[in-house]
Amino acid sequence: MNVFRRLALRRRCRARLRDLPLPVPFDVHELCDRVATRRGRPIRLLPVAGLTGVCGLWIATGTTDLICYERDTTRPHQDHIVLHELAHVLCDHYPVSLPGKYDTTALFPDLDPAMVRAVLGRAGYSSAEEREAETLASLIRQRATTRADGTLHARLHDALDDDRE
Amino acid sequence: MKADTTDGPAGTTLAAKLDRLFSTVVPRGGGEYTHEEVAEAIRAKGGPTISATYLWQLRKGLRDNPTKRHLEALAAFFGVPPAYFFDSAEAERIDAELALLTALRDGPVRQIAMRANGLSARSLEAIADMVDRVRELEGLSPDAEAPGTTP
Repeated sequence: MNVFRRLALRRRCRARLRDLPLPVPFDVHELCDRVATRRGRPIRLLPVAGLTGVCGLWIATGTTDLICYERDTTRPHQDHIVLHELAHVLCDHYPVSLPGKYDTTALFPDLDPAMVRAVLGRAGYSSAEEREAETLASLIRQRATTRADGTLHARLHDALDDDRE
Repeated sequence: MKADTTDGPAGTTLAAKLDRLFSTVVPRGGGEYTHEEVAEAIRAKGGPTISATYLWQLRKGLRDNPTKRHLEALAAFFGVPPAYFFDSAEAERIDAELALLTALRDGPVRQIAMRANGLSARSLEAIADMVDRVRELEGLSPDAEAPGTTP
């Protein structure tokens, strides 16, 4: 990714961060509740055993967003996973009005992509959305820790943050 | 190389695999491929001669002596690696992918995204299980543990 596209990506993510009803003190589950209320679509958080290698999974149906995360890992890691999947929701990566898309190469590494398309009638997508979700998730994390530690340095950083560029 | 046509765990015989391919690889908006269509498509691509009747017999388990070229042509037609018929570890993974494909095809899931670094058969099964039960999961309270995942 070239420098201009990376800057554009960060700028988009900062704009989203500005509109976000971040709870103080920060709590991922509380943030999910607030986002769900604002979107008018429930977000269900589901701890699942055996997602090793996947970490997290976002499944959207016509009415609900389901975020599955690995049950058997540490709380900070779980929060990290949920935040990444929530970032997908926040970025509206897959507007529900459009036909669904699946990451066919990740889900079906052994199957012929043409066969998968023929069966599902949908196209795959690139890794660009994954990058955007990860960028937004890390910005939210930064903001949350900055607020939480409350030191002079943190407050200065917060005040001087260039999110109004 | 010989296909696994002997008795094994349920669903691992050649007949079971072929039947799974016929019932899973269904073009959207259409029905299952017929034995005639498969035989004709293999012939049209310059593959080995295989009759619709023989295909039916293989699928029913009445015959279990296909050549390697027959199996390779069938794998190519259904979009799976030939290893599906020859390697039981590979077959387990591919079966998990086929199960997920069926769950996505038949269920209400509109989008699915994840961070993955190489999916194991077990992860794929866990995902297929979520997709299968998505209607039930939608109705849970926001932080409920997914039922059936407790060891």
